[in-house]
Amino acid sequence: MNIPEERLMAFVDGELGPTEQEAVAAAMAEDPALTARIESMRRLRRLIAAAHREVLEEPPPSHLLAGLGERGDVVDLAEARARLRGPVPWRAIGGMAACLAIGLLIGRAPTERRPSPLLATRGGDIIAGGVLAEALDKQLASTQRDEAVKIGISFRARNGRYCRTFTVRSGLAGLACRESDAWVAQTTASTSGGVAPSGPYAMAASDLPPPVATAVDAMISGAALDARGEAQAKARGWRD
Amino acid sequence: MDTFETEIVALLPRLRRFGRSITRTVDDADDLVQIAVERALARRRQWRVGTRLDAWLFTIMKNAWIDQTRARGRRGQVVESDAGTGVWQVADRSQPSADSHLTARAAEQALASLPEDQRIAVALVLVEGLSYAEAAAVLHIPQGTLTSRLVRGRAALGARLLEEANP
Repeated sequence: MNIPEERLMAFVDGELGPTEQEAVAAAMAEDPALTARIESMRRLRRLIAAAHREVLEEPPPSHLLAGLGERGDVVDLAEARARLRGPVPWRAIGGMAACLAIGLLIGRAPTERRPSPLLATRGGDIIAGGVLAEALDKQLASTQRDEAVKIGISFRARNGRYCRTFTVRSGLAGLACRESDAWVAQTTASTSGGVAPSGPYAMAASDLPPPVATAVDAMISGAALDARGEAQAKARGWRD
Repeated sequence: MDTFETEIVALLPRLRRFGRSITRTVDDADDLVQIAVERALARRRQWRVGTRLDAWLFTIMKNAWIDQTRARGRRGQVVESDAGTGVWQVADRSQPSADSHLTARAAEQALASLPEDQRIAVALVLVEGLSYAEAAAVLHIPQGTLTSRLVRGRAALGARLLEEANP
Protein backbone atom coordinates (compact mmCIF):
# COMPACT_ATOMS: atom_id res chain seq x y z
CA MET A 1 0.00 0.00 0.00
CA ASN A 2 1.51 3.30 -1.01
CA ILE A 3 0.67 6.07 1.43
CA PRO A 4 1.87 9.52 0.43
CA GLU A 5 4.71 11.10 2.43
CA GLU A 6 2.59 13.94 3.82
CA ARG A 7 0.11 11.49 5.27
CA LEU A 8 2.80 9.41 6.91
CA MET A 9 4.33 12.56 8.30
CA ALA A 10 0.99 13.63 9.75
CA PHE A 11 0.63 10.16 11.25
CA VAL A 12 4.04 10.36 12.92
CA ASP A 13 3.25 13.89 14.14
CA GLY A 14 -0.10 12.84 15.59
CA GLU A 15 -2.01 15.13 13.27
CA LEU A 16 -4.39 12.58 11.72
CA GLY A 17 -7.94 12.17 12.91
CA PRO A 18 -8.73 8.89 14.70
CA THR A 19 -10.15 7.09 11.64
CA GLU A 20 -7.22 7.93 9.39
CA GLN A 21 -4.78 7.11 12.16
CA GLU A 22 -6.26 3.65 12.57
CA ALA A 23 -6.14 3.11 8.82
CA VAL A 24 -2.41 3.81 8.74
CA ALA A 25 -1.77 1.67 11.80
CA ALA A 26 -3.69 -1.18 10.19
CA ALA A 27 -1.69 -0.79 6.99
CA MET A 28 1.53 -0.94 9.00
CA ALA A 29 0.53 -4.29 10.43
CA GLU A 30 0.35 -5.74 6.92
CA ASP A 31 3.34 -4.02 5.38
CA PRO A 32 6.89 -4.27 6.79
CA ALA A 33 8.24 -1.77 4.28
CA LEU A 34 5.69 0.79 5.47
CA THR A 35 6.64 0.07 9.06
CA ALA A 36 10.29 0.67 8.21
CA ARG A 37 9.45 4.02 6.61
CA ILE A 38 7.51 5.09 9.67
CA GLU A 39 10.23 3.97 12.05
CA SER A 40 12.71 5.99 10.04
CA MET A 41 10.52 9.09 10.27
CA ARG A 42 10.11 8.58 14.00
CA ARG A 43 13.85 8.29 14.46
CA LEU A 44 14.40 11.50 12.53
CA ARG A 45 11.76 13.24 14.63
CA ARG A 46 13.51 12.19 17.83
CA LEU A 47 16.85 13.41 16.52
CA ILE A 48 15.55 16.85 15.53
CA ALA A 49 13.47 17.21 18.68
CA ALA A 50 16.71 17.01 20.68
CA ALA A 51 18.28 19.99 18.91
CA HIS A 52 19.48 22.67 21.35
CA ARG A 53 17.82 20.86 24.20
CA GLU A 54 20.58 21.78 26.64
CA VAL A 55 19.52 25.43 26.65
CA LEU A 56 16.33 24.42 28.48
CA GLU A 57 18.41 23.55 31.53
CA GLU A 58 20.32 26.83 31.62
CA PRO A 59 19.22 29.75 33.76
CA PRO A 60 18.55 32.60 31.34
CA PRO A 61 21.33 35.22 31.18
CA SER A 62 20.64 38.29 33.25
CA HIS A 63 20.40 40.66 30.29
CA LEU A 64 17.29 38.79 29.17
CA LEU A 65 15.73 39.19 32.59
CA ALA A 66 16.61 42.86 32.79
CA GLY A 67 13.57 43.97 30.82
CA LEU A 68 11.20 41.89 32.92
CA GLY A 69 10.22 42.57 36.46
CA GLU A 70 11.88 45.96 36.66
CA ARG A 71 8.84 47.63 35.22
CA GLY A 72 6.33 46.27 37.60
CA ASP A 73 7.75 45.07 40.85
CA VAL A 74 4.98 43.82 43.06
CA VAL A 75 5.49 45.42 46.44
CA ASP A 76 3.17 45.38 49.33
CA LEU A 77 1.39 48.42 50.62
CA ALA A 78 3.65 48.94 53.60
CA GLU A 79 6.73 49.06 51.42
CA ALA A 80 5.03 51.45 49.01
CA ARG A 81 4.10 53.75 51.89
CA ALA A 82 7.66 53.73 53.08
CA ARG A 83 8.82 54.82 49.66
CA LEU A 84 6.52 57.80 49.43
CA ARG A 85 7.45 60.93 51.25
CA GLY A 86 4.72 62.93 52.88
CA PRO A 87 1.09 62.00 53.44
CA VAL A 88 -0.09 58.98 51.53
CA PRO A 89 -3.32 59.55 49.57
CA TRP A 90 -4.63 56.05 50.07
CA ARG A 91 -8.25 56.91 50.75
CA ALA A 92 -10.64 54.02 50.30
CA ILE A 93 -8.18 51.66 48.68
CA GLY A 94 -8.54 48.01 49.56
CA GLY A 95 -5.24 46.27 50.20
CA MET A 96 -5.48 43.91 47.27
CA ALA A 97 -6.54 46.55 44.81
CA ALA A 98 -3.68 48.73 45.86
CA CYS A 99 -1.25 45.88 45.43
CA LEU A 100 -2.60 45.31 41.96
CA ALA A 101 -2.24 48.95 41.09
CA ILE A 102 1.24 49.12 42.49
CA GLY A 103 2.28 45.85 40.97
CA LEU A 104 1.18 46.90 37.52
CA LEU A 105 1.91 50.49 37.53
CA ILE A 106 4.42 51.94 39.95
CA GLY A 107 6.53 54.06 37.75
CA ARG A 108 10.13 54.94 37.49
CA ALA A 109 11.75 57.35 35.11
CA PRO A 110 10.57 56.26 31.68
CA THR A 111 13.29 55.30 29.23
CA GLU A 112 13.02 54.87 25.46
CA ARG A 113 12.93 51.14 25.86
CA ARG A 114 9.72 51.06 27.87
CA PRO A 115 6.36 52.80 27.58
CA SER A 116 5.46 55.39 30.23
CA PRO A 117 3.82 53.82 33.23
CA LEU A 118 0.13 54.55 33.69
CA LEU A 119 0.67 55.69 37.26
CA ALA A 120 3.85 57.01 38.84
CA THR A 121 4.80 58.32 42.22
CA ARG A 122 5.79 61.97 42.52
CA GLY A 123 6.42 63.30 45.96
CA GLY A 124 3.47 62.19 48.02
CA ASP A 125 1.13 61.78 45.07
CA ILE A 126 0.34 59.19 42.49
CA ILE A 127 0.01 60.82 39.10
CA ALA A 128 -1.21 59.54 35.77
CA GLY A 129 1.21 59.09 32.89
CA GLY A 130 1.40 57.53 29.46
CA VAL A 131 -1.83 56.57 27.78
CA LEU A 132 -3.82 57.15 30.96
CA ALA A 133 -2.78 60.80 31.18
CA GLU A 134 -3.52 61.22 27.49
CA ALA A 135 -6.97 59.76 27.87
CA LEU A 136 -7.74 61.93 30.88
CA ASP A 137 -6.59 65.02 29.00
CA LYS A 138 -8.21 64.37 25.65
CA GLN A 139 -10.74 61.57 25.63
CA LEU A 140 -14.43 62.33 25.90
CA ALA A 141 -16.80 59.75 27.36
CA SER A 142 -19.39 60.93 24.85
CA THR A 143 -17.29 59.99 21.81
CA GLN A 144 -14.96 57.22 22.95
CA ARG A 145 -15.17 53.85 21.27
CA ASP A 146 -12.94 50.92 22.15
CA GLU A 147 -9.85 52.47 23.63
CA ALA A 148 -7.75 50.71 26.22
CA VAL A 149 -8.63 53.44 28.72
CA LYS A 150 -12.32 54.10 29.16
CA ILE A 151 -13.48 57.34 30.75
CA GLY A 152 -16.53 57.11 33.01
CA ILE A 153 -17.89 60.32 34.44
CA SER A 154 -16.38 63.79 34.70
CA PHE A 155 -17.36 66.21 37.44
CA ARG A 156 -16.34 69.20 39.46
CA ALA A 157 -15.14 68.44 42.95
CA ARG A 158 -15.96 70.48 46.02
CA ASN A 159 -12.49 71.99 45.93
CA GLY A 160 -13.12 73.25 42.39
CA ARG A 161 -10.93 70.70 40.61
CA TYR A 162 -12.11 68.66 37.65
CA CYS A 163 -12.16 64.92 38.29
CA ARG A 164 -12.74 61.94 36.02
CA THR A 165 -13.26 58.23 36.61
CA PHE A 166 -11.52 55.71 34.39
CA THR A 167 -11.08 52.01 33.76
CA VAL A 168 -8.07 50.45 32.10
CA ARG A 169 -8.55 47.27 30.08
CA SER A 170 -5.97 45.40 32.14
CA GLY A 171 -8.30 45.54 35.14
CA LEU A 172 -7.75 48.82 36.96
CA ALA A 173 -10.33 51.48 37.78
CA GLY A 174 -9.83 54.79 39.48
CA LEU A 175 -10.58 58.44 40.05
CA ALA A 176 -8.16 61.19 39.16
CA CYS A 177 -8.40 64.95 39.59
CA ARG A 178 -6.56 67.60 37.64
CA GLU A 179 -4.07 69.51 39.74
CA SER A 180 -1.86 72.25 38.30
CA ASP A 181 0.20 70.10 35.98
CA ALA A 182 -0.92 66.49 36.41
CA TRP A 183 -3.81 64.16 37.00
CA VAL A 184 -3.55 63.02 40.58
CA ALA A 185 -5.07 59.64 41.40
CA GLN A 186 -7.42 59.92 44.36
CA THR A 187 -8.25 56.25 44.50
CA THR A 188 -7.77 53.09 42.48
CA ALA A 189 -9.28 49.63 42.55
CA SER A 190 -9.18 46.46 40.53
CA THR A 191 -12.09 45.54 38.36
CA SER A 192 -13.11 41.90 38.22
CA GLY A 193 -13.55 40.36 34.78
CA GLY A 194 -11.60 43.09 33.11
CA VAL A 195 -13.97 43.85 30.21
CA ALA A 196 -15.40 47.35 30.41
CA PRO A 197 -18.95 47.87 29.16
CA SER A 198 -19.22 49.74 25.88
CA GLY A 199 -21.22 52.82 24.96
CA PRO A 200 -20.76 56.49 25.75
CA TYR A 201 -22.13 56.69 29.28
CA ALA A 202 -21.75 53.04 30.09
CA MET A 203 -19.96 53.64 33.30
CA ALA A 204 -22.54 55.15 35.57
CA ALA A 205 -21.31 55.70 39.08
CA SER A 206 -23.04 52.52 40.16
CA ASP A 207 -20.85 50.43 37.86
CA LEU A 208 -17.65 51.53 39.53
CA PRO A 209 -15.86 49.37 42.06
CA PRO A 210 -17.00 50.40 45.52
CA PRO A 211 -13.87 52.26 46.60
CA VAL A 212 -14.03 54.47 43.51
CA ALA A 213 -17.76 55.07 43.80
CA THR A 214 -17.26 56.04 47.44
CA ALA A 215 -14.58 58.52 46.46
CA VAL A 216 -16.84 60.04 43.80
CA ASP A 217 -19.64 60.48 46.32
CA ALA A 218 -17.27 62.07 48.76
CA MET A 219 -15.91 64.62 46.29
CA ILE A 220 -18.58 65.46 43.75
CA SER A 221 -20.12 68.91 43.76
CA GLY A 222 -23.48 68.88 42.04
CA ALA A 223 -24.07 66.49 39.15
CA ALA A 224 -21.70 64.81 36.72
CA LEU A 225 -20.92 66.81 33.56
CA ASP A 226 -23.00 66.08 30.50
CA ALA A 227 -21.48 65.77 27.02
CA ARG A 228 -21.33 69.52 26.50
CA GLY A 229 -19.94 70.20 29.94
CA GLU A 230 -17.30 67.55 29.35
CA ALA A 231 -16.29 69.06 26.00
CA GLN A 232 -16.11 72.54 27.51
CA ALA A 233 -13.97 71.36 30.41
CA LYS A 234 -11.61 69.64 27.99
CA ALA A 235 -11.37 72.79 25.88
CA ARG A 236 -10.39 74.72 29.02
CA GLY A 237 -7.69 72.15 29.81
CA TRP A 238 -9.60 70.94 32.85
CA ARG A 239 -8.96 74.23 34.66
CA ASP A 240 -11.17 77.14 35.61
CA MET B 1 6.20 40.94 38.22
CA ASP B 2 2.67 40.52 37.01
CA THR B 3 1.36 37.32 35.47
CA PHE B 4 2.21 38.30 31.94
CA GLU B 5 5.85 38.98 32.78
CA THR B 6 6.11 35.89 34.96
CA GLU B 7 4.90 33.74 32.09
CA ILE B 8 7.42 35.28 29.74
CA VAL B 9 10.24 34.52 32.16
CA ALA B 10 9.05 30.91 32.35
CA LEU B 11 9.13 30.72 28.54
CA LEU B 12 12.63 32.16 28.15
CA PRO B 13 14.38 28.76 27.83
CA ARG B 14 12.08 27.72 24.99
CA LEU B 15 12.44 31.11 23.35
CA ARG B 16 16.22 30.74 23.54
CA ARG B 17 15.99 27.30 22.00
CA PHE B 18 13.79 28.55 19.16
CA GLY B 19 16.23 31.42 18.72
CA ARG B 20 19.12 29.01 18.28
CA SER B 21 17.17 26.95 15.76
CA ILE B 22 16.42 29.90 13.55
CA THR B 23 19.44 32.17 13.96
CA ARG B 24 22.20 29.57 14.15
CA THR B 25 24.49 31.35 16.63
CA VAL B 26 24.12 31.62 20.40
CA ASP B 27 24.63 35.40 20.47
CA ASP B 28 22.21 36.08 17.63
CA ALA B 29 19.70 33.82 19.37
CA ASP B 30 19.79 35.68 22.68
CA ASP B 31 19.78 39.05 20.93
CA LEU B 32 16.67 37.98 19.05
CA VAL B 33 15.00 36.85 22.27
CA GLN B 34 15.78 40.20 23.87
CA ILE B 35 14.29 42.14 20.96
CA ALA B 36 11.20 39.93 20.98
CA VAL B 37 10.67 40.35 24.71
CA GLU B 38 10.90 44.14 24.38
CA ARG B 39 8.35 44.11 21.58
CA ALA B 40 6.10 41.79 23.53
CA LEU B 41 6.14 44.10 26.54
CA ALA B 42 5.42 47.11 24.34
CA ARG B 43 2.53 45.32 22.66
CA ARG B 44 1.15 43.44 25.61
CA ARG B 45 -2.36 44.79 25.03
CA GLN B 46 -2.44 42.90 21.73
CA TRP B 47 -2.16 39.56 23.43
CA ARG B 48 -5.49 38.03 24.39
CA VAL B 49 -5.45 36.48 27.83
CA GLY B 50 -6.11 32.75 27.58
CA THR B 51 -4.51 32.30 24.16
CA ARG B 52 -1.12 30.66 23.69
CA LEU B 53 1.54 33.06 24.87
CA ASP B 54 4.35 30.89 23.49
CA ALA B 55 2.86 30.93 19.96
CA TRP B 56 2.44 34.71 20.20
CA LEU B 57 6.06 35.13 21.25
CA PHE B 58 7.32 32.78 18.51
CA THR B 59 5.45 34.93 15.99
CA ILE B 60 7.16 38.04 17.30
CA MET B 61 10.55 36.31 17.16
CA LYS B 62 9.96 35.06 13.65
CA ASN B 63 9.00 38.52 12.43
CA ALA B 64 11.95 40.14 14.19
CA TRP B 65 14.28 37.61 12.58
CA ILE B 66 12.85 38.27 9.13
CA ASP B 67 13.40 42.01 9.72
CA GLN B 68 17.02 41.27 10.60
CA THR B 69 17.77 38.99 7.69
CA ARG B 70 16.19 41.45 5.30
CA ALA B 71 18.42 44.17 6.71
CA ARG B 72 21.47 41.97 6.40
CA GLY B 73 20.53 40.99 2.86
CA ARG B 74 20.79 37.31 3.61
CA ARG B 75 17.17 36.34 3.22
CA GLY B 76 16.80 32.84 1.83
CA GLN B 77 20.49 32.18 1.62
CA VAL B 78 21.63 28.81 2.76
CA VAL B 79 24.85 29.32 4.64
CA GLU B 80 26.22 25.84 4.19
CA SER B 81 29.70 26.73 5.34
CA ASP B 82 28.45 27.88 8.75
CA ALA B 83 26.79 24.55 9.29
CA GLY B 84 29.86 22.62 8.26
CA THR B 85 32.34 24.32 10.55
CA GLY B 86 30.49 23.76 13.81
CA VAL B 87 29.15 27.22 14.46
CA TRP B 88 27.80 26.03 17.78
CA GLN B 89 30.38 27.04 20.37
CA VAL B 90 28.27 25.84 23.25
CA ALA B 91 30.24 24.21 26.01
CA ASP B 92 28.84 20.75 26.42
CA ARG B 93 28.13 20.26 30.08
CA SER B 94 25.30 17.88 30.21
CA GLN B 95 25.70 15.24 27.55
CA PRO B 96 25.56 11.79 29.12
CA SER B 97 27.61 10.13 26.41
CA ALA B 98 29.77 11.01 23.47
CA ASP B 99 27.26 9.44 21.08
CA SER B 100 24.29 11.56 22.08
CA HIS B 101 26.52 14.64 22.04
CA LEU B 102 27.52 13.89 18.48
CA THR B 103 24.00 13.21 17.32
CA ALA B 104 22.66 16.37 18.94
CA ARG B 105 25.38 18.43 17.27
CA ALA B 106 24.72 16.69 13.94
CA ALA B 107 21.01 17.42 14.26
CA GLU B 108 21.68 21.08 15.03
CA GLN B 109 24.02 21.46 12.10
CA ALA B 110 21.63 19.70 9.76
CA LEU B 111 18.85 22.02 10.92
CA ALA B 112 21.12 25.03 10.41
CA SER B 113 21.78 23.94 6.84
CA LEU B 114 18.13 24.09 5.81
CA PRO B 115 16.75 27.00 3.81
CA GLU B 116 15.04 29.50 6.11
CA ASP B 117 11.40 28.66 5.35
CA GLN B 118 11.97 24.97 5.98
CA ARG B 119 14.17 25.59 9.00
CA ILE B 120 11.61 27.76 10.78
CA ALA B 121 8.78 25.32 9.99
CA VAL B 122 10.78 22.36 11.31
CA ALA B 123 11.84 24.34 14.41
CA LEU B 124 8.25 25.19 15.30
CA VAL B 125 6.81 21.70 14.76
CA LEU B 126 9.59 19.24 15.53
CA VAL B 127 11.60 21.17 18.10
CA GLU B 128 9.04 23.36 19.81
CA GLY B 129 6.20 20.87 19.43
CA LEU B 130 3.56 23.14 17.94
CA SER B 131 0.71 21.53 16.03
CA TYR B 132 0.37 22.09 12.29
CA ALA B 133 -2.46 24.55 12.92
CA GLU B 134 -0.50 26.47 15.54
CA ALA B 135 2.65 26.64 13.43
CA ALA B 136 0.69 27.73 10.36
CA ALA B 137 -0.86 30.51 12.44
CA VAL B 138 2.54 31.66 13.72
CA LEU B 139 3.87 31.78 10.15
CA HIS B 140 0.66 33.24 8.76
CA ILE B 141 0.53 30.64 5.97
CA PRO B 142 -2.02 28.00 4.93
CA GLN B 143 -1.58 24.64 6.60
CA GLY B 144 -0.84 23.02 3.21
CA THR B 145 2.11 25.35 2.72
CA LEU B 146 3.37 24.47 6.17
CA THR B 147 3.18 20.72 5.58
CA SER B 148 4.97 20.94 2.26
CA ARG B 149 7.79 22.88 3.93
CA LEU B 150 7.93 20.17 6.59
CA VAL B 151 8.07 17.40 3.99
CA ARG B 152 10.91 19.11 2.09
CA GLY B 153 12.79 19.96 5.28
CA ARG B 154 12.51 16.45 6.64
CA ALA B 155 13.61 14.95 3.33
CA ALA B 156 16.78 17.06 3.45
CA LEU B 157 17.38 16.30 7.14
CA GLY B 158 16.76 12.59 6.64
CA ALA B 159 19.18 12.41 3.73
CA ARG B 160 21.83 14.04 5.87
CA LEU B 161 21.26 12.45 9.27
CA LEU B 162 19.89 9.02 8.63
CA GLU B 163 22.59 8.21 6.13
CA GLU B 164 25.21 9.02 8.74
CA ALA B 165 23.44 6.83 11.25
CA ASN B 166 23.38 3.97 8.77
CA PRO B 167 26.78 3.88 7.05
